[in-house]
Amino acid sequence: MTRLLLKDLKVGALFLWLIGLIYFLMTVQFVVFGHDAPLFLASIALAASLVASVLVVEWRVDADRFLCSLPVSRSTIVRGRCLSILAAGAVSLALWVSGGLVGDALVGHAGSVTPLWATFEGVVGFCLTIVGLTTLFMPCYFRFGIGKGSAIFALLLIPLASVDAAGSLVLLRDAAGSLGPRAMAAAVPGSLVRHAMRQAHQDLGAAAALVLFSLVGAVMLWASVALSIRFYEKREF
Amino acid sequence: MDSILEVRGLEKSYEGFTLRGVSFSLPRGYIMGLIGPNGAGKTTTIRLILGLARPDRGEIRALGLDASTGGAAIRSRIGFVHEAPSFYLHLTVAGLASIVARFYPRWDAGLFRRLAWEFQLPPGKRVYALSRGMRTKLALALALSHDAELLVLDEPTSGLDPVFRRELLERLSAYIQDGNRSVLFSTQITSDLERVADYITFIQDGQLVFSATRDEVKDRWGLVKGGLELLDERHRRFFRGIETSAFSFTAVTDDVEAARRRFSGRDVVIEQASLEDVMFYLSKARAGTGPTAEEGGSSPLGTGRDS
Repeated sequence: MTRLLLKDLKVGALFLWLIGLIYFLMTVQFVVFGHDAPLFLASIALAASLVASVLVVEWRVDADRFLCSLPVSRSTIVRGRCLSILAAGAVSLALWVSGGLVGDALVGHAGSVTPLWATFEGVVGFCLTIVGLTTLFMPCYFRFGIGKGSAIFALLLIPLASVDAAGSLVLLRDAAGSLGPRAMAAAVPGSLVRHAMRQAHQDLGAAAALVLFSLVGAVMLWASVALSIRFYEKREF
Repeated sequence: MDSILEVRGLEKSYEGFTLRGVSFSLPRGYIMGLIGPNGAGKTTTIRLILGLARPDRGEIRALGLDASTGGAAIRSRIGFVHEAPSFYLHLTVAGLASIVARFYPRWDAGLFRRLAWEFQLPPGKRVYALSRGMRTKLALALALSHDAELLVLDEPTSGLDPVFRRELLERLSAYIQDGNRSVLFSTQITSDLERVADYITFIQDGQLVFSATRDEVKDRWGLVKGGLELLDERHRRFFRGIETSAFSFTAVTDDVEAARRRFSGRDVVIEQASLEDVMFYLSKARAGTGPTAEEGGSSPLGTGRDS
């Protein structure tokens, strides 16, 4: 799997400038507007862009045929891809937190609210959002390829994002009576997940909540990888 | 004889194409040429051997392993060159080699550098800047650099200049000299096979026509040329493919001795058929069409053999 991760790093190296660009943009917007919600979005977008750039390059050169003719099993290819996506997520998480720290050092917290990147539910929520997106994307990609797979992934994502955004609006209205300046938070994916995490954090404590959500994430990934392997083994190149 | 590759009853269906019951065996230390017209099933057969597609029926054993379960282990001992190699275009030759190297435990970096130099592949050159022939050379260098026991080459000589083509064939001959390694390569350039192949496997319309040693093919297959008056229905059925002109016919047979007996004392010329002759006449016979009188002054006739 590490061979495949290194391969993806090498193939994706061409697009590493994306990291610098998005890091710069998100820090600037945080410094200028003082709101941390777009940072979250930008970091998720960064992870998605890194993954998409490698996949598009591979699609252009018909890399599936190349990869499948190497001495590596289809299941290893799927697991390697999963590892690469999670690595992109980890890079984005690191940039999100460090971007937040840099912005915070420059302008301080926006009001009295603790920024998302400094909270338990923010960081674990970010990880779970990446895991959730990966869980949904991988079977689509390995069953249908990048083009059709992305379209189906987007179709699946729209209702989920709508439910999440609607839930977020309700939660915010319940909490504050009116949305006001916090409406931006409704645009941050995973609000319902973070709410559940906040509750679990309060009810169970940080360690137990972390274990619980790690287990949930692991089960989701396991199911996604298992399904993706089944799909990919049926593909012919 | 120890077989490095055994294919038994291979079947695979796609829309508009079916590979049916293809069987052949390649012993260690030999070169097998896979020939057939476009769309015959050569590339499908190779894809099935490599595990890029799954057979509907049949068995493939490569290097003593069952291909249905030992795919990755088999591929680690196979060097593969696709007819249109798919590489990461933005990488350099050396960069691509460094990716491929990690997958092969017996990768020889020194050998790759030497081959790249011999094939005039600059290590710093990006793949997109290489011509089709140069990309095939790169694929060959990659395939030859990990001590593969079996080379599987899908139309490797198309797109190569004649000088390198001949050099490649010499390399393939040298490659099997230790008696432990074999080569399976598909091509439509039959003269390449006449030069190096020990075995010939001919596939047409997804079906195996024959798989035999080159000498057996030479001994068995012949061209018969004679006057049209000799070509009665009984003889027509004897031949595997016939082309006629206004006064004469040329036909191919897979039993040249029987043809000699059959036409003994008649005014016919019987000569050895080249692989191209065999491919040409069998393809014509299968298609049931050919040059019209306007185009070439001849018309093909049906085929079939009497018992």
